[in-house]
Amino acid sequence: MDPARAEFERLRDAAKTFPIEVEGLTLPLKRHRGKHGGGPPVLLLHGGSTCSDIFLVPSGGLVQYLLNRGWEVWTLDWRGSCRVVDALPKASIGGSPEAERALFTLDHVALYDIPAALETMRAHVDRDQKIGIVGFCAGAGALSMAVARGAVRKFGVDNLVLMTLGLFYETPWDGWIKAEDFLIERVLVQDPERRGVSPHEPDWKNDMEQAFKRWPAAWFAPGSSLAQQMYRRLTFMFGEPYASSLAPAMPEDVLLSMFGSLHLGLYLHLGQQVRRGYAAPFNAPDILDRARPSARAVSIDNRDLSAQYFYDGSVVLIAGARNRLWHRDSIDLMYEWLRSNVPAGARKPSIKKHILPDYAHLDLLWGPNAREDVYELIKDSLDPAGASDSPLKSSEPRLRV
Amino acid sequence: MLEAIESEVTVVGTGFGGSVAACRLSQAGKDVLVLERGRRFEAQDFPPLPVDSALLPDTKHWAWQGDHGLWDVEDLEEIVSVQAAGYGGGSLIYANVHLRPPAEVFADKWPDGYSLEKLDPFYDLAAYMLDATPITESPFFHKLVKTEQLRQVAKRLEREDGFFYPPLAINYSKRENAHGKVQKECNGCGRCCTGCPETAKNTLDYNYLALAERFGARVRTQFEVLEIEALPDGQGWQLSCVDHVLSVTRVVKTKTLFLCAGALHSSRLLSGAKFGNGGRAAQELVGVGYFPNADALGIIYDTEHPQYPSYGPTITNATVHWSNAEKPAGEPGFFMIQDGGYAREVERLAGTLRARLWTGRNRLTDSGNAEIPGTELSPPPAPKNQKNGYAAPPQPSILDSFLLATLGGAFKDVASDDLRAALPEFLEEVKALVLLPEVVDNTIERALLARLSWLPARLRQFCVRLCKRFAYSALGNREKLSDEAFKALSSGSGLGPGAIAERVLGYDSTRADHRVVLLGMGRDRTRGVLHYDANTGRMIADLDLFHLAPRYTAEELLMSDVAKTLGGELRVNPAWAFLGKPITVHSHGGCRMSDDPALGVTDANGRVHGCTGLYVCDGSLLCASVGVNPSATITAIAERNVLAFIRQEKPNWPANDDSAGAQSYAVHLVEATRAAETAKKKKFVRRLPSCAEVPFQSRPLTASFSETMQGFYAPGTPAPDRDASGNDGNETDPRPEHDEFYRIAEIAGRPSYPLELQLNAVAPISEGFYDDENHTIGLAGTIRVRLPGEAEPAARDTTGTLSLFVPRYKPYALEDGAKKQAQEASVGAYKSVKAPGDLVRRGEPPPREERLMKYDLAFEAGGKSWALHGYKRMSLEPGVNAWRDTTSLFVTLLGPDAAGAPSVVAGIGAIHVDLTSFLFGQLHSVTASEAARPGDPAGVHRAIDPARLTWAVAKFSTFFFGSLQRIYVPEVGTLLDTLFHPRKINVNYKRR
Repeated sequence: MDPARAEFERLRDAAKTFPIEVEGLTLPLKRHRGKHGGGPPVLLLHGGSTCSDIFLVPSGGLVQYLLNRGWEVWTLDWRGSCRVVDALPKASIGGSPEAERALFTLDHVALYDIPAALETMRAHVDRDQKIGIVGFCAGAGALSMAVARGAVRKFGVDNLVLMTLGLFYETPWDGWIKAEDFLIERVLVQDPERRGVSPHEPDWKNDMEQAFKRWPAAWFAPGSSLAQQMYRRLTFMFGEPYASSLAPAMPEDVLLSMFGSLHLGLYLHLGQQVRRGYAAPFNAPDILDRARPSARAVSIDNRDLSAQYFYDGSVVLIAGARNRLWHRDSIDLMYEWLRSNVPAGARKPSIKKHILPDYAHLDLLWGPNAREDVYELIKDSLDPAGASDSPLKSSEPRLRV
Repeated sequence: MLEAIESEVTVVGTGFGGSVAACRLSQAGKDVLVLERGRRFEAQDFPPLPVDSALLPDTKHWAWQGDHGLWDVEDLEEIVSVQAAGYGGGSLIYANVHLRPPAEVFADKWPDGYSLEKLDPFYDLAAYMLDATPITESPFFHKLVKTEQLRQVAKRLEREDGFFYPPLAINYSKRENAHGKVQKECNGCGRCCTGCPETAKNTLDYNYLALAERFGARVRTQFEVLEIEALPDGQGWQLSCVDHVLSVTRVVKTKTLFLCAGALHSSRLLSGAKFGNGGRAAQELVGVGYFPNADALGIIYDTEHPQYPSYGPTITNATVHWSNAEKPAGEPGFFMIQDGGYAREVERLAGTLRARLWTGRNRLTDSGNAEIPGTELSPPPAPKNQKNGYAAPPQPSILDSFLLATLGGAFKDVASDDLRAALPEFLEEVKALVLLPEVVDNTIERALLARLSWLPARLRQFCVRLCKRFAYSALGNREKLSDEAFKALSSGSGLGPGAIAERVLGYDSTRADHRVVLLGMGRDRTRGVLHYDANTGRMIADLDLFHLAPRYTAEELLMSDVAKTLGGELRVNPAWAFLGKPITVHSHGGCRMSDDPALGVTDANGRVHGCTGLYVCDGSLLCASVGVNPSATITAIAERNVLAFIRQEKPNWPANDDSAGAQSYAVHLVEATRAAETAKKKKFVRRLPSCAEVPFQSRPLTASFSETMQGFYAPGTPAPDRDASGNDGNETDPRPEHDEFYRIAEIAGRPSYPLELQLNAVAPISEGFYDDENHTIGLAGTIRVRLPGEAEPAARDTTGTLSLFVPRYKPYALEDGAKKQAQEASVGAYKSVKAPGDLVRRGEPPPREERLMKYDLAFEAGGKSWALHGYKRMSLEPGVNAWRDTTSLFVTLLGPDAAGAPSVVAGIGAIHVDLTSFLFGQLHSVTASEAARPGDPAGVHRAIDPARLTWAVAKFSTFFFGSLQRIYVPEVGTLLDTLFHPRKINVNYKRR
């Protein structure tokens, strides 16, 4: 076995797990420590349908990278993780499938999972150490909702890195069409007991499978290996998740193990956000009727948009310019919103945006050059003071008088 | 409900005016709120040019009209105006030229206190802030092939005195700029106008706006102001806005408002503003004096030597042409042509300007041999790890991506094997379904039937069959037609990238290095006015294009000189050739300054007359066309006016002010002076140079056609009931019953008094023709008539003129009122609206227009002078037959009076062009030739190349038949409207 793979497996097994109990669920919070232990703590939040393993890959993932640079890395499998969903008991939690779906929305992640993880971390790290958080995809979505509700900063969190998603949800045209078609809602009508959707299933049945078979993007992935079949289904579920050539290649067994069921509660909530364009609680009234300005005014209170907590530390936004899952506008809008809403007279906040021209979605973590292009940015974002001086990448004006 | 946002000063817009206002006001310690409707475009945010693997290109950042993207393209009816929407305004996409106009521009029509001399310190300040230096300072200057070649062209054309390197706001070395922002160096990727990905352009967010934010300005982007309303008792201004990030409406309340939204949008906002009592008079004058700067675009293809248009900044040099006595004013005038460029990704798109689609109509010269030697230079390969350098292979263009994606070409790269194998069969099926010969046939037939619905049924069937036979005999047979259509849609095998685009549009991208892009711009003397259409919230430009046409013609002459010297084929702006609709990227004027409230919207400092706390500060203030790229002038005037505003409160500012802002402004003043001295020492050209007038080598063209008309007349004087109707006997009276009167006379004269005209018309396609309000064409030919008292018809030579009174579709011409007076006093009166029926008041529905074409002919018979006056009528009354209108000439024959002058009415009648002579004679007879040079022997036709002939004919035909089309086929206008304003189809010009 090659040494990188051996190191990967050693790290995977060496992590200490702190199970978190929230709302009847058990969520694994893992702590990875470097050779010398300690170091500033950072929490990594994965995206939907995947799990915390996306940060720990054989070729050297973000976990290894940060450990080697002196961080103590924590990863949380929040309730959107395929590990959690696939391990659920057969009976619905909360009594009914509907009640279970309500539990698996971003609201609950923001209100319970992330604060609980932070509370546990706080108990195990030094009191004066600030915590950094890196959110990816739906993890970043949930994280920013948690921040906007004031549930994060109170745990001594200073540096936030939001990758591909914030409080705004813009997709390319295909994602938007699926949301506008109420595809998931239709599947639920036919199959009310259904718990989740997994890219590993060979046949989704009903409307979902029908739509998948008609979906142009699904025709295009060449080949017939398991990973490629999964890629097609993932592409249908979200948009192209990663460039079809990941180099150095991810071993197929590892790649397959990264993905699993996406809970329909989370899927429904994400669909609502896409239709709406911004974050709001699950089942908040849609205000898509742009012809009626009064409708906007009424439902403004239903938004999860409060900028004030974002200014208490640094916020770094990262996206790939060629993201086909969340359009880069999701990050652009978040950036403009944060830049525009600074209260008068406030200390100049540190808001930065990095758009990487050749990156799509998961290759931000797995791409052949992710180490130089992305990990370094994340490292600098988590430690702005000690950042290697790369002001060219900075979008923040740095002025001298 | 969200609460109102309040501020002391609000700046709307972040272009060259708004940025200055935001920066200086923040430095002066004001509480400044900056509102920008566009996005914050940072280096990686500019619209992606091609996206190779995507099913559809990512267009979210492209157009303002789409998803609040970068380019805002507004159709102003008579012109298309392009501007930027984004944080930094026009600086994001301009070509960096920071050039001062000559002193003549400020000679008149400006308020007191405006002259080049008095503005110079502000120009210096702006040049320092934007760090403008000519291309000669760049390390790669000696590698720029296009620049060197154009220098040699200027030398060859004896235009060395007019050739210069204008200052460019580009950063040539990696460094932290004077305002604390780190910028990279220019690598010559040619993307200046699509958004610099290298942070090398000194756009406003790297200087003025960075400072504004540094000194506390609050900035809101994607925040569009919809309406302005005065708060009661002069308490300030209330802005109704929409925050596009959140899609919510917001209200902003401010004490002082600086409107800096650009010429179009400031004018629009002011026009729609709700003023109290104060500003109404000023509001009436908004739109007076709008200038498009005579922008023109040309591309020279297939030059003998390589030019590498995609390497180097978009504009690097300029050649000015001065004409020392210009019509109509007799003052000196000038225009420039500057080199252009584009990113390599746009190469293929630029190829579409010579596509088969245009059928050569925009071609001015053919490729030939260059008159200058080539250079040994070539662009350097791209530095490692840089994608945007020259050597990067071109990816498919936007157009390719789009066509490939929509027509299936993307299959080649991404389709699975099965699908690719099935493709040919699939396409055959498509062909069988869509392009059956019967279907093609039916489509044509239905289109024709619909178009000819006014004909009686049997005649209609006959005409349709006739037209189809014409079409098929031209193309072979209907199977062939279907085949051609299919071939155009697929290239048969493979469907490689670009293949479909090439089939459909017929361009090829070979020899893309052998191209030169030329941008023309000049001082225009158009009497442009902007009108506000309250129903649609749009601006409409009334431009008097016929005054612009001579300038475009001159620009094309110089471009064609350059093309010949380089041995290339010149193609010019197809929109102008086809639609008579030019494009401008330099809109200015519309809220002109004047000390006299009756003549201008604002005072000399930009304060709107009659309003407290409302200022305009952008390109709309300019009182005359500046001719050069206007950004420097806009910035300088903004510096001047904002300083004046600050000094109202703090005289002598920044003196006696210890704040950091004032200190930083003081530093700017000192540094600007120093930079200006350095520039003088280094002999940079900072102002448009003067030079002698150099004649063009290409000559303007004339177009000619022949026309034959036959009919009859009745001798004698007309019936007396003409006077009863109050008519003065003028035969051009447009009342409809008159036509019948002539028709009756024609029948009465049959068959004894035949009248036949054979005429050759010669129209100079030059200044005189367009400038003349009657658009007069010379006529010469034969008249064959039996005069009263004669036994037999006799043929006689005749000469005369044809006045076209070219119809201008102007439902929005100026009403009598303050605006008209201001326009006439400050910009000049219209000439061409004098023609009868030309002036249509707003508030009336789009008119059924009516125009007359007037024939005046003289001939001699029996030693006496005779004359023939005639008119053709073109009207758009329901049921009126277009064909009958344009082919019937109602004539009055005038015989000699006692003094021998032809003034006695000798008969009236009507003559007609018949269908066959129109189709096979008149249409085919339209030709062009080069105008004679002074000193040429009479009757010598100078040989010119066939390409220019085609162009001239096309241009004349566009003018002549296009004018007819505008009367008879207004649907074309509606169609264009639908394209540009998909949601506003039923445009109706009623005012509120």
